[in-house]
Amino acid sequence: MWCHNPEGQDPQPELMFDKSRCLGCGACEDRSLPENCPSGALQICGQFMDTSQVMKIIHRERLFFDRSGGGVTFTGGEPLMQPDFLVGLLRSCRESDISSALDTSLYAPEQIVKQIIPLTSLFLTDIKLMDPVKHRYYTGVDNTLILNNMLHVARSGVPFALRIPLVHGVNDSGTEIDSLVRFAVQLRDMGNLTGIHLLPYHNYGQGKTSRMMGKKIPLQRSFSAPPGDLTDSILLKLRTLGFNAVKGG
Amino acid sequence: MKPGDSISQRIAILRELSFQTVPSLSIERARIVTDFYRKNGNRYSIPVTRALCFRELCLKQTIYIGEGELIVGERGPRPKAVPTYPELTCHSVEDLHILNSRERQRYIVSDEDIRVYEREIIPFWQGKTQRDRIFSVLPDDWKLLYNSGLFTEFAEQRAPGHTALDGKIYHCGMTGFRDLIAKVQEKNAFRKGPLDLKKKEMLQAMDIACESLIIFAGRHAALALELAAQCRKQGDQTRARELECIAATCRHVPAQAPRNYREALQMYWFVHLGTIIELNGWDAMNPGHLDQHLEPFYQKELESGTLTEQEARELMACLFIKVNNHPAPPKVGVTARESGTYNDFTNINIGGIRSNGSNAVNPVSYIMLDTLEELHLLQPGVSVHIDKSTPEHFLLESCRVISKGYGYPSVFNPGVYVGELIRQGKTLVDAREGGCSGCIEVGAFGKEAYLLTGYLNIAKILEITLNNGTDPVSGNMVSLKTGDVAGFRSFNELYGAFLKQLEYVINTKIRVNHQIERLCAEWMPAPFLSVLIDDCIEKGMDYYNGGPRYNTSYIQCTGLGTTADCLSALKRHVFDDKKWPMECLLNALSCNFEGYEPMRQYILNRTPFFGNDDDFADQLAVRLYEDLFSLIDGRPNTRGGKFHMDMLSTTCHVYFGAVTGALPNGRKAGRPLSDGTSPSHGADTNGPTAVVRSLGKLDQVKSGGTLLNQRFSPSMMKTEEDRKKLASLIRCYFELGGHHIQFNVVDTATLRQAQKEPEMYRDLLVRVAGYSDYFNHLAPALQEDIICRTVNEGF
Repeated sequence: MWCHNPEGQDPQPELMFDKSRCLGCGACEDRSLPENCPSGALQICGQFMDTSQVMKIIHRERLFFDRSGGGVTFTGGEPLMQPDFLVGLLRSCRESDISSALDTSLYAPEQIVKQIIPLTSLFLTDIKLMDPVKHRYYTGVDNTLILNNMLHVARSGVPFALRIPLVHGVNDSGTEIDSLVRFAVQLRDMGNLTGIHLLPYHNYGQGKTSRMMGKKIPLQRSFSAPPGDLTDSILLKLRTLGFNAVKGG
Repeated sequence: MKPGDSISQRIAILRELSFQTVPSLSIERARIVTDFYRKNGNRYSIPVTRALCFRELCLKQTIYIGEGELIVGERGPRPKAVPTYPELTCHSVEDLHILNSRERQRYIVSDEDIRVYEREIIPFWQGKTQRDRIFSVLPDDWKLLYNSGLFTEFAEQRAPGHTALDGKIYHCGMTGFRDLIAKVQEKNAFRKGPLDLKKKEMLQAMDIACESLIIFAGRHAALALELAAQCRKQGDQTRARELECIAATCRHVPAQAPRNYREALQMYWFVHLGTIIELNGWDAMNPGHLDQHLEPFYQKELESGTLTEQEARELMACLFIKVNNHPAPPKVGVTARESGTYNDFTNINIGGIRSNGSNAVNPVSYIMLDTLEELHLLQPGVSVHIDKSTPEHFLLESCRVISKGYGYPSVFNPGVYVGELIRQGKTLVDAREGGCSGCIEVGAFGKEAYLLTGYLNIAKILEITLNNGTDPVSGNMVSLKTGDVAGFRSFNELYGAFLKQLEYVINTKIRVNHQIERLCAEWMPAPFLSVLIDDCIEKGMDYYNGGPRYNTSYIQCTGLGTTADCLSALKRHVFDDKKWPMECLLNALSCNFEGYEPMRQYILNRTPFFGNDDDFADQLAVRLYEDLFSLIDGRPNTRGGKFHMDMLSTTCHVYFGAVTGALPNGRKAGRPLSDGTSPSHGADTNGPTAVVRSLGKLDQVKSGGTLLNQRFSPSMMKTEEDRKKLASLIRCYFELGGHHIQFNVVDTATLRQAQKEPEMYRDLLVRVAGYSDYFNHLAPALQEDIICRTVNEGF
């Protein structure tokens, strides 16, 4: 329904065009030779890499991980769309003692999630809507699988943070928030919930979306953030219940 | 002033006065010096003349004690009244009019003063200044290079600098120094062989200088007592007591060693004033490791109950304000362009290590950090020194102040600079007592004259290589003919020609520098400064003449990042990929890329640039750095010391950029070069960790200092978590061998500029929402949004 910082939409490398940077020099021969583009207006977003190539880049940052206690975050898109690749990377990180976080919607087969849990140091996982009908309407998929996977993550004891995007009129109603909170309480009781991030809707991604060429941009609805005091009252409610809740993050 | 601060009413008023006062030019010093020279110009040896001139100033200068002041003394007749030094450089009437009317770095000069200057000062000094002497020996080959902006020369209008002190003035007063001088004088008189007259004169000059500073302080004591009597009459008993205390302090220091914290601060301040009244050396004067020097006084008094922490803070703030009251003396010509600032670079070192190698952070370090934060003034510059042994808490507190976005404190790594000093030949203890002064230059505090000789424009040297020795900006043939680059077959052939040019320019600079050094030593000795630096007294030799234990000459190399990027572009596109023939690129450069925008964009977007942890470019920077080292390091100077390479630019990269045409890295003519050892503006697009990894590839121990500027938006530094990340970035860079790093916060004006010139700001990271992104990557509307937010954050 909403991607706050879209780098691309396609699982394959994708041609991006930023009109404001185009010199109109024609070097790309009508966009057929993007590698000739001098200004970077035309860029191929995404590239094929294998595990060892990615690990080489990760290892460069090793000193910083050691000093800061930080690590790698696998994000997307959806990292679980490439499960074998992800497992390979997580395994290599584990072997090198590099902490790895996974930023995922958890919309993936249960088997894959179970396989990935023991290799992951921290989950950052979205929870958008509890109402299955609305979830299907706004995201195009059912949330049963997601909620079930979330229970697996919670049960495993691996630390995880919940990220709740707040969109006005979509998931900020009293009933929806109540059921989200109930589910969060349940998850906390089961496992190692480190915090809740409330993410009020913003349209900062539009600049990037406009660079995607020839893609059918899914569902451009006009969304808006909940009124500021509503977000604050949700925040307060979560904190009263003892959650480590923050806005943004 | 921020609300809720702990600073006293007194400090708030003094700070406001210091902050609001517009610098003015005072001709008092010029008149005293001119009168003195008119009567005594040829009666004594030069060192004694200089000392007597200093004495005359100490005797006749207006003494200023401001309302509410606890630490007293000004170089001029009032705060921010800056004297001139006509014996070095005599400003012309036109100079004075420019100073009075220019928009930036203005100095108020009254018409009456300009008339006096024209009538009395200028005619006397015509042809007799140090500047005249220097210009009379400059050869044509040097002038060609200088006029084209290939280097600058520090001694052409100011005395060479710069200096930082060790702890000796806290153990020995001027009377003690006079005793020491007398002993050496006696030894000299009774040694076998003929009396060393030069030494005798020099020592006599030092003795006069010590006495002069005592006189200067005594005049402050007298005025304080006078003012105290007035206060008593008016019934202001509190201020009267304060003034009596000031009088007592000024009678004790600098004649004797200080006995308490207040006297220690006043001692330093008189000594500081002495050095900047005597001459106007670059980078004024630095107290060195002031927190270490003050710690024993502070601890002792805290225990005995004669000083409270609050009083200690107030006195520290008084000293900081004093430093801020002293803008740099006004410069002229090229020097005004290369150093366009009021800052006179008093850089106080805090934290770091002691002479035994242990952690030096102490309660005074925190007082100084707080004072810096609360006062938020241009001067003094404060640097924090972060060693492996430095407590994390001190680093995090420093990061908290950094995140305020004042550009201070800068951060230094003793782990590397002690190594630099040892490599240059200092003993372990002298190295550990050393530190950084001015911008980032290392020196053995209290034991070394480490003189900056001028900046070197490396990028311009590449430009003249590409033009076979001709400066394309002026059209003059200024250097060697090293061949038509269009005929070069390989990158190495080009690089070889570049090295020849580099060697020629450096040789010319060093050759002439020898002469300038001699002129300074002969004509402008600094007897007072010599007293303060070991082993000038013992040797009976001047600070500028090899008296100090160590005698370094630095050449400051500017534009490493820009030049490495140019070399990378030439290697990749012209020689490796043969994308364009050399002629084609040269044409583009000569047209300032007019009509060649696709080529320029291709270079900007398809060249590996220094600062991205890409070895293609980084190794070129390393090669260049190593070659500069081989060409400069270890060359002898005339003071028994050596030349070393320093990697700083201050603001000279702007001047050098202005005189340099379009370059192969896509930079247009006239734009600034890269600063210090930082990547070119906007060249680093892989984040700060890649920047510090690239910088870590330079073997920084071989330099006398490197400089890395990083910029961030206030949004990146909001939380404790953010500051911890900053702290670990600093720790990591220092583990990789970094010498220095500093952080500039971007204000609204910078963000506006980034919208106008995106290519210069490709490295600018901003926090968007739950993530950060490059400012350039954001849609215009979002950029506006970020700018509004920045405004809201109060910057």
